[in-house]
Amino acid sequence: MGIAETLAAIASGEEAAFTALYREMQPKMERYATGLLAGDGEAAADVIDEAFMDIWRSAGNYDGSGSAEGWIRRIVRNKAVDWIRKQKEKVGIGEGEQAEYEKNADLDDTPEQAFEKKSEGDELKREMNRLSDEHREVLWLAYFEHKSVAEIAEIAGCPENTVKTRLFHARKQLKATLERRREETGSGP
Amino acid sequence: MTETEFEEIALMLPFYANGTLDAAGKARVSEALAQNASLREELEDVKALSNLVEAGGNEWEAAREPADEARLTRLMERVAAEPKAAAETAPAPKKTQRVVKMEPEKPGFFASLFQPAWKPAFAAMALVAVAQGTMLYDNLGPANNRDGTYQTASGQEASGYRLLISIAPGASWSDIQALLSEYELSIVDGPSDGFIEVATGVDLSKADQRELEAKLKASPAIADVLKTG
Repeated sequence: MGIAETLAAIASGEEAAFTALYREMQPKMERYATGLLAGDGEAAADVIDEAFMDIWRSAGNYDGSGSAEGWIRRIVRNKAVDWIRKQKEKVGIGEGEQAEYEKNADLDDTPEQAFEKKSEGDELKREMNRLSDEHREVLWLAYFEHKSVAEIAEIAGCPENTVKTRLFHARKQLKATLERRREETGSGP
Repeated sequence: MTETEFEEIALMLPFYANGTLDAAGKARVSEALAQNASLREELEDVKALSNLVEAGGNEWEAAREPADEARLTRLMERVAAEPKAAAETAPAPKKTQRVVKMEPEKPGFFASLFQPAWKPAFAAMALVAVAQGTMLYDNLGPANNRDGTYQTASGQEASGYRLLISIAPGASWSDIQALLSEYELSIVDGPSDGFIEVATGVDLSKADQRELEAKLKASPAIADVLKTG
């Protein structure tokens, strides 16, 4: 049974179909949510639970247009964005102070010090937290999940050109880090 | 190579690097890379970013604990405790289910009420509700006892918890009727001064009263909720 058929079964109230969908999709969706949440695996697991509750409630709203997985991903994305917004409200910061909300960044560190004392996961977390939700999403989908531009456009709900420009701007925003990494690995021009 | 061509190719580089370009796109990028050093430098940035995301992401993956059965069990308990959205057209919940099981963010609920097929039915229900409210107001009158009991159109006196609700601008009677049905509320009085008096069919604990008030206040169809008396 494909995902679309499983959603139809869930819409008719079949709990077994819901369990099957959870078992099949939970790891992939949690990986996606982890990317959206810049590596916060615990929050990602909670987001996925909430997303699956939404799937249970609204599986009948999937109308077959677009891929069923894309439909599920959009639910996950919305839940992740809600979570991020609530976290920002909780710590009492506004959009303009987003840079301050780099909870894993030690602002006193030079980039070199930060690089040395952080693991790859920590560094990625810090860099991802510098990006907007939209940039973080396309970055993750292109570079970790290896999605095509068409697939990302469908998931993100935007034109393909927007996906490309978001990726371009994300790269430019992280340019200093990338140049340092290139020097570290000796792959500079 | 023109500036526009350069930008086009630069935008394609992440997909060249992740191997998802089609054959024609791949050939176009390869050719451009062979001719242009700046593009090759861009590609190095793309590869550095790819390495960062891959390495960091793999570390996150390694740290991620797979969902255990306990998590799924807890989720299924939540599922079992919640009426199925897809079954919204099923008969109304029984009295034993009456205390507020609807989640505030239940998607598609109000939207489903605006299906064309429902409109005549809700129009008829709204007329009945208004007529019932008018009859009740006439029967009760300001001097009648309003403490703890109310009288239905059939003349039976019933106990219950009562509230005054005002309807949000833009909300329709069908919205209100759906809410009344969801929470098993009856119109007791009004409309008067912008408020309708509604009552539950049974007495509620203080906690349930607060929960009901909160749920009604959270509804987009309701502008305000006041306690009676």
